[in-house]
Amino acid sequence: MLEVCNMNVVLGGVSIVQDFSIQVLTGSTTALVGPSGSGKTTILQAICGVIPLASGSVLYDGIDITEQPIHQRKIGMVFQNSDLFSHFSVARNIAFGLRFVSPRLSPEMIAERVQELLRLIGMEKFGDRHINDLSGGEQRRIALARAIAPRPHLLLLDEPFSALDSTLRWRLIDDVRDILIATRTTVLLVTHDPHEAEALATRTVAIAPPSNPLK
Amino acid sequence: MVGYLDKHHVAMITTLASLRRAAIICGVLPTAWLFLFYFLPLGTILIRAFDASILIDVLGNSGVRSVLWFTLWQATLSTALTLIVAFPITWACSQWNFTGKRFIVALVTVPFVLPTVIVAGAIRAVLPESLNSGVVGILFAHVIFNVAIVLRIVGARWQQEHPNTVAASRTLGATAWNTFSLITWPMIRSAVGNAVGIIFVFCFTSFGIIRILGGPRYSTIEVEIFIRAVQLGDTSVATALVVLQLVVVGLVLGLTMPRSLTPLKIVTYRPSWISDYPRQQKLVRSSVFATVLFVGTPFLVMFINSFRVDNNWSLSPWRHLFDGTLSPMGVNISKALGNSVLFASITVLITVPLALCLASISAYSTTHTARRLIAIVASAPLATSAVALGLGMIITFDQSPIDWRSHWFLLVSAHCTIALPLALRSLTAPLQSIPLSMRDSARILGASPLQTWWYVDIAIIRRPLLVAAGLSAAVSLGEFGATSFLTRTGNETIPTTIARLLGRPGDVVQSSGYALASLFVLLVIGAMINA
Amino acid sequence: MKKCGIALILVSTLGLSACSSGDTTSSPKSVRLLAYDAFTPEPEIFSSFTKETGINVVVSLGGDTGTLVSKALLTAGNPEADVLWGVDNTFISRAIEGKLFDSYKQVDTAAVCVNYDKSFFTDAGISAPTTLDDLALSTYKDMLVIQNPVTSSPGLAFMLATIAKFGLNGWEQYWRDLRSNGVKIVDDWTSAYTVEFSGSSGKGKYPLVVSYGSSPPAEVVYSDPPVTEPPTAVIEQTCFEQVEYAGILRGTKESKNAEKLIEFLTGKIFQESMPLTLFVLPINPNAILPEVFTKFAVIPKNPLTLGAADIASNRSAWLDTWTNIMLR
Repeated sequence: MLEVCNMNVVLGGVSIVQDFSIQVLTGSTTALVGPSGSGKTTILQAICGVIPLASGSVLYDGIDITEQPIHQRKIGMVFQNSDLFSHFSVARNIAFGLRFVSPRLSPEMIAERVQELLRLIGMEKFGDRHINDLSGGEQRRIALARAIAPRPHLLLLDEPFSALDSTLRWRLIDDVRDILIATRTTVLLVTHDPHEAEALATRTVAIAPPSNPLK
Repeated sequence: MVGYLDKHHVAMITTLASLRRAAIICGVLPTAWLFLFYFLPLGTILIRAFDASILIDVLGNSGVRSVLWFTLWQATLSTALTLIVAFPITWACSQWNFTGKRFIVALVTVPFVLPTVIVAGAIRAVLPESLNSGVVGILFAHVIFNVAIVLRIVGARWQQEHPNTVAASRTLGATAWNTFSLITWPMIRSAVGNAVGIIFVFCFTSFGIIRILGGPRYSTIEVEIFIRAVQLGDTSVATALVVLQLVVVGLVLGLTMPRSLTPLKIVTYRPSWISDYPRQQKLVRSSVFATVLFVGTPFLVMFINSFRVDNNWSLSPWRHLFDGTLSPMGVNISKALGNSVLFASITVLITVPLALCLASISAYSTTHTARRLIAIVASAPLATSAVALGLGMIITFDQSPIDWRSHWFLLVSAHCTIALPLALRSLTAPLQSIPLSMRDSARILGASPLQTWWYVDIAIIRRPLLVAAGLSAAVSLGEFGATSFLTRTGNETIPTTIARLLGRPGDVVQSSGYALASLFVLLVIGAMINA
Repeated sequence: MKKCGIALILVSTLGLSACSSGDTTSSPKSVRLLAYDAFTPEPEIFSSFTKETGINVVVSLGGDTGTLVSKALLTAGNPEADVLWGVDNTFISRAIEGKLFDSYKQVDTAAVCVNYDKSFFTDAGISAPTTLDDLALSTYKDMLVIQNPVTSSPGLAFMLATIAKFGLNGWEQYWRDLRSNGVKIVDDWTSAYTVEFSGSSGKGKYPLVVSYGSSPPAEVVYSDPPVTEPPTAVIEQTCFEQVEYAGILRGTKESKNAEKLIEFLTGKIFQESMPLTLFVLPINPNAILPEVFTKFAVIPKNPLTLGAADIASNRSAWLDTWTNIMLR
C-alpha cells in the first residue's frame, strides 16, 4: 500500500503541492482528478522521486521511501509525453527496465517477455519499428508496456490519453483497463477528465484547484 | 481567395528571382575573399616550395618525428583533460538553473576569447618556477582555453534532452550512471565528437601557448614551422611541415564533423532550479566552484603579481605601462592598443558581412550538398596553420600591383580569413532555424525582399551577429601565429607587446607584462558582461 | 558582380594607400635603421649625425638576428628600412645569397665566450674551468647555462665554437657529454645571463654562462652599488669570433642618405660609443677603447672561428643534429 502523508512540494520558490495526503491500496486503481494547474503531475513526480519533497513523507508498505533513490523504488511511471527513447527500437524500449530488475535474465527470456507485452498491447509486429515512426496512440501503448515490463509495485499514469483524439482515446482506455486487470497492477492515475477516471478507476479522489493562483 | 493566391504566387516568384540575384552577390564576395586571401597564398607556397622528396626526408628526420609525436600526444591528452574538467560544469549549466549561471558561463568563456599569450602568461604567473616551462603548463593552458568549447557545444545539445526521458529511465530501474551511458550519451555523443575535433585541432596547431610555456624543449609542428621559416629561413622544410599538419588536421576534422548537419531544435527545456533539489545542490555547487577556481585562479594570481616587485607591493609595474619607462624596449602601449582596436574593428567590418553572406546562402539553399560544401570550404582556414598563411601571404603579395607585404592591411586580411569559420559557425544555425514560412508571410504582407531580409532575418539573428562580431574581434586581438609573421615595426599589437614584456627578464618588466595582460582581461570581461 | 568589383577596388586602393603612406613617412630628411632587439646605443648618439647632415634617423627593432634576417630576406628588394644593422658572420652568407644588400660593411667584432662567477669558485674551493673540455667534466656538473642555438645568436656561436674546436667527428659526442653533465638550455641570452647566471643581476643557480668577452666590463659599468672589479671573468679558450655587418638594403629610395649613415656608424664617434653601450669591439682603427674595457674585456688573440660559407651551407643540418642530441 502506498501512503503519502502531508506532502509539500516547492519549486522555484512557488508552493506547488500543499499538505497532500493519499492512500493507494495494493491491487486498486485510484484516479486523481483535478483541473490543470492543481499540481497533479508534480504529485506523481514526487511519489516516484523525480522531484524532492519540501516536507512530508512517502511510504510503501509501511517503509519510508522518501529518501530512497528513484531506481530502487520499483515505482513505474508513464509520462504525458517525450519519455520514449527515440534512439532505441520499440523492443529495446520495452526491454529497457528488465535488465535492471533481473540482471540474470537471458536475452531469449527478455525477448520472450517483450513479445508477450507487445501481444498484450496488440502490437506484435512492431518490435523492430522506430519510435519516431509511430503514431501518438501507438507511442502511449509502448510507454505503458515498457512501464509494466519490470512488474513495478505501483504504476503512475500521468494523463496518458490527453494528447489523443476521442475515438482513439476511448479504444485505448478500454485496452488499458484490460491490461491493468490482466497484469494485476496497482495504479495511481492522474487526469482532468472525470469520465476517464470513472472508466478506469476503482476509486476517484478529487483534488482542489490551487488556493493561490500561480501566474 | 483567388486574389490572395495570385498575390502569394507573384510574391513567391519575385522572391525567387531576387533571391537568385542576391545569392550570386552573396556568393561572389566570400568566394573572392577566400580565393585571394586563403587559397592563393596557400597554393603559392605549395607550388613554390613543396617537394614530396623533402616531405619524405622530413618524415625520416627523428627530430621532426619527435615533434610530431609530442604534438600528437599533447593534443590528445589536452583534449581528454579538457573533457574531464569541462564535464561537471557542462552538466551543471545545461541541466540546472541557478543564480549567477549566466555570469559563470561568461566567465568560463573569457579565456577562449582571450589572446593565447595572455592565457599562457597567467599560467606562468600561477605555476611554480620548476614547472614554468614544460608539459604541465602547456596542458593547463590548453584546458583553460578550451573548457568553453565543451560548455557551449555539448551544453547546447544536452539542454535538448527532455527531462521526462531521463526520469523514465530512472523509474525503470536504471541508476544515474546507467541513464547517462544508455540514454544521455547517445544523444550528446555527436556534440562531444564535434567538440573533441575542434579542441584537438586547436591544441594540435597550438602556437602562442607553446612559444611562451614550452621552453626550448617543447615544440609543436606549428612552432616548428615558425622556427624553420622565420628563424632559420628554411622555407622548403617549413612547407613540408605545413602539408603534414594540413593532412592530420583535415583527417581529424573530417572524422569528427557531425555527419548530419541538422541544426539544433529551437526548443530547449528550461532546466529546474537547483535550490529545489537539495541532494544535487552540493554537486552543482562544487562543480561550479571547482571550475571557477580552476579557470579563475591563474588570472587572479596574474593580477596580484602585477602589483609585486621583488616580493614587495608596488604600483610601478602599472605606472611603467604609461609613463614611457618601457619605450626603450620598443614598447608603446597606446600605439599597441590603438593598433589592436583598429585591426579588430576592421576585421569585424569585413568578417561579419562575409560570414553573413555565406550563412545566408547556406540557410536559403535547399540542398544538403550546398550546405556541406560551404561548411567544408569555410572551415578550411581553421585547419590550416596560421603561420603558413602568413608565410604564404608574404610570398604571394610581393609583386606590384599587389605588393602588400609591408602593409598592415595584409595582417588584417589574415585575421579576417582566420576569423571567418568561427563567425560563420555562430550565424549558420540561427539562420537555418528561421522557417521559410516566416519570410513568405513577410513578403505577403508587402515587404520587399530587402525589407524581409532586414526585418525578419537580421532582426532574429541580432544576437548571433553580436556573437560573430565578438568572436572576430577576439580572433584579431589574440591572433599570434600569422601576426608574428606579418607584423612590422610600428604594427605591434597588445599580444605582441605582452609577449615582448613577458619575454624580458627583470621583475618590474615581467610584472608590467602581467599588468598589461590583466588590463586586457578586465576590458574583455567588461565587454562580455555588457553584451 | 558589381559589388565584387567594388570590393576589389577597395582592396587595391587600401593597398595603394599603403604604398603612398609608406613614402610620406620616409621624407627626404630621414633614414630608417632596422636593428635587432638588443641594439641599444647611447640615446642621443644620432643627434650629431642629424646636426651635421640634416638627416633624421628612425630606429626600429625587428626581433633577434635570425628573425631579422629571415624577415628582411622575405621582403628583399622592397625593404621596410634603408639600413640594416646586425647581420653577423653566421648569417651574412644567407643575406648575400638572398641579395639583401646593395652594399654592406663590417661594423664591429665581438667574442662569444663562457663567463664564470668568480666568487662561486673561490667559495667552493675549486678552480674555474679553462677549456671547453673542462665543461664536460663532472667537477662542473649542473653549472653551465647556455642558449638554444636555434633561437639565439650567442647560442649559435657557442655551438659553432665546439664544431671549430672538436671538428665534425668530435662535436656531437662533446654535446652528448655536456647533456649528461646537466647543461641548462634557455631560449635567449637575456634569460641565460640575467636570470639563470649566478654572477649577474639575476643571482641564479648557474655559475657558468655563455656570454661575451665584453661582459665583465659591462658588470662594472652597470654595477649598483659601484664596484671596481667585475664579479665575473671570461674563459678565453672558449671564445668564438663574431663579426657583425651593417648594410644598405636593396631597393631603398634613400641610398645616398643610407650611405651617409653607414659612414657615421663606422666613424669614430659611433665606434667609440659602442664598447660601453653595445659591448662590442670597434673595427675603426682610430677608435680609442675606454679604460674599463681595456682593463676587463677579453679580446682573444686566437679565437675559434669557422668560414662564413661553411656556416651557411651547414647551419640547418648542424642545428638539426644539435636539437636531436640536446632537446629530443
